[in-house]
Amino acid sequence: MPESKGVIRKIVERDGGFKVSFPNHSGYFSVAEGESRENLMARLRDAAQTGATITFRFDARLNITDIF
Amino acid sequence: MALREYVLDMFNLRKDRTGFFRVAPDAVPVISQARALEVFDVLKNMDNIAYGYTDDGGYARTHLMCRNLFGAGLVPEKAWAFETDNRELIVKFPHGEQTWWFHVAPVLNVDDGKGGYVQMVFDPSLFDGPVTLKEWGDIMQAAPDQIFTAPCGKAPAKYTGDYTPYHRTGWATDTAAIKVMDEYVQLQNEQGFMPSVFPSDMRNAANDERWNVQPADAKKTGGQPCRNQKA
Repeated sequence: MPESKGVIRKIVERDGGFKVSFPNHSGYFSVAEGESRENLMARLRDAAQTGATITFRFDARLNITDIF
Repeated sequence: MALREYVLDMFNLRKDRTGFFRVAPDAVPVISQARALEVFDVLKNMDNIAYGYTDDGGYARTHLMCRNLFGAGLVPEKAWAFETDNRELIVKFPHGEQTWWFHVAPVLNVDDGKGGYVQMVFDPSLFDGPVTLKEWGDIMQAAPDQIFTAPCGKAPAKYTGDYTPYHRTGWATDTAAIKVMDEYVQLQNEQGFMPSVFPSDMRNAANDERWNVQPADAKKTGGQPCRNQKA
């Protein structure tokens, strides 16, 4: 699975959906379904607020599966 | 010009990177429509580019395509599309919807047959041939004010990067673009993603012309132009 890192540009939470974009990627990322989904979303919200750089792994459909 | 853009230019905060893209001394600034179709097919057949993987990576695809175009003695620029606060870039592919916050592809000047030229976008991830900026924007549901062009090495208006909107071309950019594409070619192949493209008016017109000079063949299939046929 590819890895990337960056500062979160924008989070869009609309109609139950959750999308996140980064300055160095054109596509919108989502968060993989599963037990860790809520935890990953919370960490992404925190990172967006603090402006922290995060390193993450994602699948072929740009679902974030891990944050390091 | 807005104050912010004026300041960016005044202090060279966009950091002109055109030096990373060498224009050949005998470079051709405008190409014919026939040549444009040939060039498009060369780009489309670059096997180190994941055209079927459209979720992300347009910046890397474009960088590598532009390298190829400069190497072929052409003078590409880049077409940029950006979302706005209330208008995302959405492409409705047959296999599903794709949303980007920006998209980018090479642009070349193509002879318009009337003594001038028109900027055409070469985007094999979206189309089967070169398209106008309007065709390109329309497929992403982008309004004209969401579309920009800029020379390779120069950031589009309101942004500071020429590789991605916030990242400038540097010595490591070729390697970075190749790495991104290697990963995405692998994903594309693992997942079995195939390019799913829309017809371009130029390609259709070329196919119609070909059809017109073969009336006997046209009769066999009811005279309908053959869409999406390879030139």
